Amino acid sequence: MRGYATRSGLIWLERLIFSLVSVCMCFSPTLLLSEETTVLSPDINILKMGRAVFEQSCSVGYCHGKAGRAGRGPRLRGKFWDNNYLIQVIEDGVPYSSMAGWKSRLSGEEIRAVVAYIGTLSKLGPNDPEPPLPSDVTSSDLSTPTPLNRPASQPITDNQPSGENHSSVMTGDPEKGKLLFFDLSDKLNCAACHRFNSNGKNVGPDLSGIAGRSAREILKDIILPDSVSTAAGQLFSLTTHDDEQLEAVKVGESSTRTKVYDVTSLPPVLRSIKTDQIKSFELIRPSAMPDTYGQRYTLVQLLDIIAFLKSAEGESVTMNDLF
Amino acid sequence: MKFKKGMVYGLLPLLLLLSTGLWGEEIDSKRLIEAANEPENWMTYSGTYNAWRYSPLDQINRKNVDRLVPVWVFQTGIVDGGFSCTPLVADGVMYITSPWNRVFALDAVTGKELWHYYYPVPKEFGLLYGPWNRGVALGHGLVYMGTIDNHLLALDAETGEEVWKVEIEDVDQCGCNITGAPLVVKDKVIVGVTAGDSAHRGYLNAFNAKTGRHAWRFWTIPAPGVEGNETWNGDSWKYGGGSTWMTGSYDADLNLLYWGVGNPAADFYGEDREGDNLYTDSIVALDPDSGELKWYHQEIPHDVWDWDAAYECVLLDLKVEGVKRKLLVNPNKGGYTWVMDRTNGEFINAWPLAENINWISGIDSNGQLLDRLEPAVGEQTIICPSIGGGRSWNHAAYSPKTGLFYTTGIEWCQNLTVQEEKPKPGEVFMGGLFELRRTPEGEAWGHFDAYDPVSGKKKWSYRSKYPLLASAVATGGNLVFTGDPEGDFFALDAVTGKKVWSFNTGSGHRGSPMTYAVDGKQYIAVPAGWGSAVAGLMPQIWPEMEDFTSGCALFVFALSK
Repeated sequence: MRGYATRSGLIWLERLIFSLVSVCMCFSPTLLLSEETTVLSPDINILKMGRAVFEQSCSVGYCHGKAGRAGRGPRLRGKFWDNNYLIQVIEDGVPYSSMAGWKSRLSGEEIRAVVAYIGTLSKLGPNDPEPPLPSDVTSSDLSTPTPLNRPASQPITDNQPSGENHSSVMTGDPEKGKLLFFDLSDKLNCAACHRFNSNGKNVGPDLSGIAGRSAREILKDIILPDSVSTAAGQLFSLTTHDDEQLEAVKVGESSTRTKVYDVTSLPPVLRSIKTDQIKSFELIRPSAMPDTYGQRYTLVQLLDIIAFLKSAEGESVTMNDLF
Repeated sequence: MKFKKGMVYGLLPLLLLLSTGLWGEEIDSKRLIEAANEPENWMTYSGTYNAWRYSPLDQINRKNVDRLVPVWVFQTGIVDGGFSCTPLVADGVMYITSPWNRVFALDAVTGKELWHYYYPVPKEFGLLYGPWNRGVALGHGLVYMGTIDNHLLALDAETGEEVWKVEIEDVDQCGCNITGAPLVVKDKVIVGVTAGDSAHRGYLNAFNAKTGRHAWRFWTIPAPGVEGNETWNGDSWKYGGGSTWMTGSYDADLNLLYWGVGNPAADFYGEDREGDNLYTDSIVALDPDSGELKWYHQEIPHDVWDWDAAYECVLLDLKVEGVKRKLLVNPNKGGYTWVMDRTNGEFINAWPLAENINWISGIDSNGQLLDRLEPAVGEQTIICPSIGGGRSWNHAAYSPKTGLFYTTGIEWCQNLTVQEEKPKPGEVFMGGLFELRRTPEGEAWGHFDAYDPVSGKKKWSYRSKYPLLASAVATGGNLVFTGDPEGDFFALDAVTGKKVWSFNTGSGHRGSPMTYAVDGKQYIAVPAGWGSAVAGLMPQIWPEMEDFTSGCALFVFALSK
């Protein structure tokens, strides 16, 4: 497990460095944003980063417009903003509005850089051209943001190396596992029935907390689903008085209707069937999960999916961990 | 209490109503196909499957339109993103949707609410494609709606109870959702998806209308090994856009479903997707029973301007060079209107609906684009029209009475800077930045015009200070109704273009007016409420528009006595 130990050590080193950098930045005069002022003497590199992030995340498409001119989102230029308010809105979004929270997609440093950049737009009129940043900036400088800690949402290409192979033991690739988990072109993709970190369906158990289980246990859950059945995941045969038959997972019932997931075919359909229309409702299997995933996926694909499910722990999963 | 004979007679209509059901005969495939025989109703998104947005009702006409007055108003209570739906009416009941997927069933005579359904919206919603919704579909005793988080659901038409709901793709994974109205064709309900400006692979889905079970999916970008994939290089097909965000048309005689496909992604940066990029910017004709592709016509190969062929497909049977042909007319966002044979996709003509178009110099008799102006990476290029389009999605109308095609046009440009961009699955993928600009002559304006639909010869033009973002409806009374951003809902003489009536609804128009009748009385309905993506861009040219107030109220008009 030398590869694992090396990787783990690197992660700790990265975390330590990032923590120190973050602490330093919190007290940096260029980033200590107060209510009274927009950014005073902002560091050009911070503004460059802020502008690059703004162009890729805030002004795109129909949102806040180039240099905050306004789009479907409000105009940001020509207004003086409370920086703490901006940080809060960017991090958490505005509930029940089109403004999403960005803290899972942008690092704290990127968010503070965007706020610093928005501060430079405060004195612009609605149609003023954007002035250059406080030092010479070329468009090529701005085209590639280089944040210290870009989380998630990296471009995914097939050219990426498959897992880390510091040793001869194959290691699961969580990114490939994620693609398989959510693969829409496969009707039986995992997300058709399971949620993971708030994405996917809730027909079967939410798998967000499964990282604590061993890779071996997760593999068993996948290929032998009947061994982990729960009352909520049982598969029933439902027949209506119209002689419609469906394979169903029960969700709940009101005074007049019974709510089930119709899993006869996927994607599952949440049906609210009038209870008096139900002729029979019989248990047919302890688990609604098909027992074919051991054959549907290759062992390497199963390894990648398990690596994805355990990615929250920051540990790699090797083929040895499965057996 | 004793009933007298006269009372029983008096109660007869009520008893009859109760015995047949307050909600009328169920809307089945036959009624939808023959919707033109029920001018009192408006049962599909465009009134009829041919997308004419025309009603033969003529009680309200050029002679008496000055007596048109509001008779009721319904407030939806949601003011966010504009009110962009087309109300549907069946047997005296109106169905509307507001932003954030609220559905209301209303008494079409009084405006009284019969039921409402508020979709449990996600707390956090950050899509480029906003919370607006263009309306429902009706059929099989159900009301169908696509949602802001990419579900399709069916409600009981009489009670508003949820009957089935299916998630098409996880919204956070795909960066996509549904804003367009579904279309019921026979035993299926068909619905498109947004995300043409995201790293996403587009599709069109059909579901069993009664059970919600998935019936078929047509990928607008073919997978490797499927014909058409060779028009994409590398992995670009995985993230190439090709949304289906509007509503298609249906020809029951040919049993063909027509749907417009949007732009490829990245919108402006095309170097990583060399090739024609099928079936983006195409009209696809599908077998509605299987989803099988029967033919396609690509209007713009390798689009690098964010144009769309997603707007309405208007089906007309008209003479071309003396021979009557089955035609499909599709206004493209780039400012040209394509005319093709809807039996096989053969190109017939393309004519401009805007004056300021510089991304091509024209289109030849074979449908080839001439002198493409492809912006260079990293440089600013003036492109006309702007990203808002030579026309936005708001729909045209066709009147068989005048033989004219009524549509808006917009004169504006943009400063476009193309940037290299790599796809991040499910996230915005535009490959460039734009700023709206006036035309090189320093002007910007909108217009509403009447054309010969085949030749594009303009018959008349109505000039507007601001771009018009409302759909049109043409009537047998030789009137055409539409609205403007300042809140004026107005009628033009369908023959001359002269404005003959207007009423200010207090907020601008971004939706689709329609007309219907109950008990022999004709009504005109219009959603009023300013907003939407394109509306939000307008202050870049007209700063005062930032202060235009939004709203979300349905106004209904009828003749005063």
